[in-house]
Amino acid sequence: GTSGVNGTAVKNIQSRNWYLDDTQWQQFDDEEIVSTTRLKNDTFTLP
Amino acid sequence: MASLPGLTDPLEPLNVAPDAHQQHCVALDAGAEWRVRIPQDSQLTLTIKQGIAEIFGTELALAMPYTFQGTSMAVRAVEDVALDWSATSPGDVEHRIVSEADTNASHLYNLHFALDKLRAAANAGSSSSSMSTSTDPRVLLVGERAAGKTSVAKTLCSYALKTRAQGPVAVNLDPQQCVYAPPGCVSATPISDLIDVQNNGWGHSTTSGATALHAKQPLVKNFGLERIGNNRPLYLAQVRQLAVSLDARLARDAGLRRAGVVVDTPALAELLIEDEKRDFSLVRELVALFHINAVVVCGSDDSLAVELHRELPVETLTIVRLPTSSGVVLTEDVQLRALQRNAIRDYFYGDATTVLSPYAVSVDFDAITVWEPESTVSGTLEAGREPQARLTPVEINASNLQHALVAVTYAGRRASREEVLESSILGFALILEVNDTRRKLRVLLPVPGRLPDTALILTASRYLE
Ligand SMILES: Nc1ncnc2c1ncn2[C@@H]1O[C@H](COP(=O)(O)OP(=O)(O)OP(=O)(O)O)[C@@H](O)[C@H]1O
Ligand SMILES: [Mg+2]
Repeated sequence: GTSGVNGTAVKNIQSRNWYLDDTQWQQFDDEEIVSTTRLKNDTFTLP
Repeated sequence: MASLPGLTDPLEPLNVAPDAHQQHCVALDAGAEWRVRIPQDSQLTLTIKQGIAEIFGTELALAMPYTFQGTSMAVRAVEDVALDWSATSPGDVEHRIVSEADTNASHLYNLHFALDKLRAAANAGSSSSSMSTSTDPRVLLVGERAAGKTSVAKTLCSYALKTRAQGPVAVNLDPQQCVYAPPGCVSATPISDLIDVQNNGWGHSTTSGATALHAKQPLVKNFGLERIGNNRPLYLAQVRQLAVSLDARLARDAGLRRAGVVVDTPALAELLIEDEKRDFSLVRELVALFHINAVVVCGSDDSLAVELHRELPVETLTIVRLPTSSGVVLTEDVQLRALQRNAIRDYFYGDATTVLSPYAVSVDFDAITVWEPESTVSGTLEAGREPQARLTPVEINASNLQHALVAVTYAGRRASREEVLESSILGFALILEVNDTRRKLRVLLPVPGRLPDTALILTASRYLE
């Protein structure tokens, strides 16, 4: 399982996104960033 | 790129001098610059009380406190400006005012307007045809160390945003420098909104939530070594991948293509092949890869511009010289280390304006595959052999991996070394702890969840928390 570095359970805390892969980045529209008031970024998928 | 123990971490409380909260006032005539040097262990806060002021082209909001640490910069008065500042140790802050005549602002403005004309021409051209025009500005900044290249890149990007909704793509080809990424990377980032002037790394790449300042979406390629000369073929391979993806992005995004590309390069000596005669083949290669149509030579005299006239295909590009600002300060080695260290910390933990929470996970030795690039400075090369764009396997143990920054690729754990080398990267992980007897590692991830089941690449960066 995962926990915050200090051991406390963490929920809805902000963290860095993984970078997009080349194909996703080529398709990306930066206007999406302005509306990142959502808490989850779901524009990428793990392989 | 190794971290230096004992450097003051900006998140730790600073020694605060008795006069720390005293406000100092500065009045600037239009065109003047307030040049400030803030040491690594001091924090300066400034507030614009009146007038329009900018830092490297980015306009500052009125009555908003901005905080700086470990940097040199100039506040430029666009109109008469009054500002207040205070610092944790005001005595350590070096600052002076220079009048417009002693700045290179007029040259920088002229350069910006020349580029903006190209953008307008590209615009006009695209209405009559959907073909990609060749007039969109594609700028390569070249110059010796501390010629002001990066500041000019930043300023050109910011100026473009003043008149257009979309700024250019900022390309960083200096792996020692950290632009929306930790050290060891090359990157391409559409500047679609303001640059974060308080952050030495230009600001944040995107996070899971909204950030106070607009975050950026960079394409990041991991080189992983400190100096280009450690493995030229690998550097070029990564830069090629970056250029190919940038082409694909611009081919489908006309607005971004019109805004152009601003390519910042490392100090010229890093690009030239160490030899008696100056070999510009890498510079020529960059000109071709990024379809450069304007080379901006940053320097205090004409000699490099003259040399480049001989070395570059002048039939297809314009070479202009931009006089180096007298305010440019050489980034000392110790400061560079601190900037790199802070960029790694920022990547995982954020900064004062955007606090991020990384996650630590425990991983078995058997569950990871780690590669490393061949390098002239590690044991990966037999004597006398030149490094290739090639990865070699790394044995999992404490001496190889403790405190190391590793790139997390998109390539599966059992992918071939060629596939791993060609893969995009998800980002970086930090090896916090390696237990050789229990055969377990503790790994810090920027993103919650498990460590992706993909190949890792060891970088030359070490970070001790
Ligand atoms: N007008 C100015 N006033 C004060 N500081 C400045 C000014 N212009 C640039 N600097 C600072 O000088 C330092 C070196 O400038 P810059 O990074 O632009 O040079 P560079 O040519 O990119 O250097 P390098 O070769 O190390 O990449 C930076 O810390 C920058 O913020
Ligand atoms: Mg630079």
